[in-house]
Amino acid sequence: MARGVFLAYGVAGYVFLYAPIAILILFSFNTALIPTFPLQGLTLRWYQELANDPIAFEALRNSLGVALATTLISTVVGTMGAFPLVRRTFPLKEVYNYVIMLPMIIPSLMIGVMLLVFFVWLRLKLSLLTVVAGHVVVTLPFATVAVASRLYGFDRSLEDAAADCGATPAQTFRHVTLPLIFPGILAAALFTFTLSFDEFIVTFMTTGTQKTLPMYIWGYVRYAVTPKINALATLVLCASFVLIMTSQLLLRRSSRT
Amino acid sequence: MSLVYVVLFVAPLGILGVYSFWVSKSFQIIQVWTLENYLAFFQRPAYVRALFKTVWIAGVITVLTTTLAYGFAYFLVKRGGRYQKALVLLVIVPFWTSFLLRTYAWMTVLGEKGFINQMLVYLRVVTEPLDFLLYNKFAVILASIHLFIPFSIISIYTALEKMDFNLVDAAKDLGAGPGRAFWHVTLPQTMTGIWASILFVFVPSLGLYITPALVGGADGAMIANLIVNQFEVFRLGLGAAISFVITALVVLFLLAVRRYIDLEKIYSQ
Repeated sequence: MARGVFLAYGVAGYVFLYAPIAILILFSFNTALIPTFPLQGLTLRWYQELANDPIAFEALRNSLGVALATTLISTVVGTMGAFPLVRRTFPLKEVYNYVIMLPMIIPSLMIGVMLLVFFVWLRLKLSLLTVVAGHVVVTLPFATVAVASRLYGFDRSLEDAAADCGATPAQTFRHVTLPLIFPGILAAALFTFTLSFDEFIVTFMTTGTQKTLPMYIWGYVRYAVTPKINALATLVLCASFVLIMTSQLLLRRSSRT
Repeated sequence: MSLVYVVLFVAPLGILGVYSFWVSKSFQIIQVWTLENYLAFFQRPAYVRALFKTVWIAGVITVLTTTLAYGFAYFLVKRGGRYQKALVLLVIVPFWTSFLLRTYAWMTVLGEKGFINQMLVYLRVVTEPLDFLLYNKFAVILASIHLFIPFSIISIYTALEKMDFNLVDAAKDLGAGPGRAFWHVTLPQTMTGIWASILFVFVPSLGLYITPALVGGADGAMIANLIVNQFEVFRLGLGAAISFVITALVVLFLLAVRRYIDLEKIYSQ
């Protein structure tokens, strides 16, 4: 009896997680302008409409640029930050842990607000560059944690062995440390890219006149359900799903060895 | 790394605090120290009500999400079998996809012309679409549970998976009923997972913006919407003050639950 209840609960859980997304995708293929059920017919019209929308493409270009820049910065800085987190003890380590973790926990609106006020104070012109700065703050903890999870299982005697064999610290890092933590770094990069590409609130607060893809989406969804946005959402969700799945698999595999 | 944090996180937080004590008039900040912004906030009953409503909604989301997640994590551990790893992956992946799009998905489900209403009308359960599904607290809470629950499930799952279930059998052998065994054996051993869930659901819920803006209507509006409104009309001082109140709440909450949470354990998961 109890076993059946748990199974039903589990199935209900997956339905709850995936049904709204499935319905969103379903309506992207519906012929009618407003979502109707049962479906009247299937069409790719909304995807075509999207492909002919220059504003969507400009937003896509902006989003890709921001996400690539963010990924590069966060992955490099995050990798450097993971080392002291895992390997060193120092005074105020606990405070360090919290400060690193904070952007992960506190609402991203707060990060957006504080950066906006900060940039206004510095008299910086808001642009995609300020957006990148904001995205780095949001994504850095995740990049750090991804690399750190690889470092926790790291056998340090390998580095000592390299040093004993006469390798300089730089050579040890290049030929021993880096290849071993590389899956973590790759996972961090994929993860950071997806988070940055999907980021809305911090972008909304820190951008100038240029729009990213989530802002383009926001302009529509504030007021109504539009099948063109369902089509775009379908593409973005599928891409994110693949990237995150790859990143998670890389992390799982790396934590096993 | 520390440098990036100081420049882009600690310094902005300080500036935000300073701005909240400065006067802002006709789109300009005047560098005069004042409590005006905080008074403006706390003397407006509507604003204070919004604050309480936010804490209340965030609390409800946290309790419901954690409770529902516990049952699901239990299912994964007990019934996952050899597919357990894949099932866990299917739970966590949607968590990292766009919050904006997942909230939008609920608009297509709950809206007046949404999936549920279309179904009900089609099946002739109702003649007119139900209008109470969207634009209220209920919709905000439902959509937020959907947003946050994967993380909760994984935190609790991690704790449950490490647990020694022999102890539960031992308790039962000694005469404890399933309820008592759960309360005295299972629950205490999974508290780390529960605290992680509470932390990672409650704190972000305090600053929910997208969800109330899209599905909350007037009834489900939260403090974040109020903050964004202030910035949209360039009342930087008041906006900063409200943000600082929320930040203070978050810090107090973190200090209160600090001893229950081991961040290094969360990192190394």
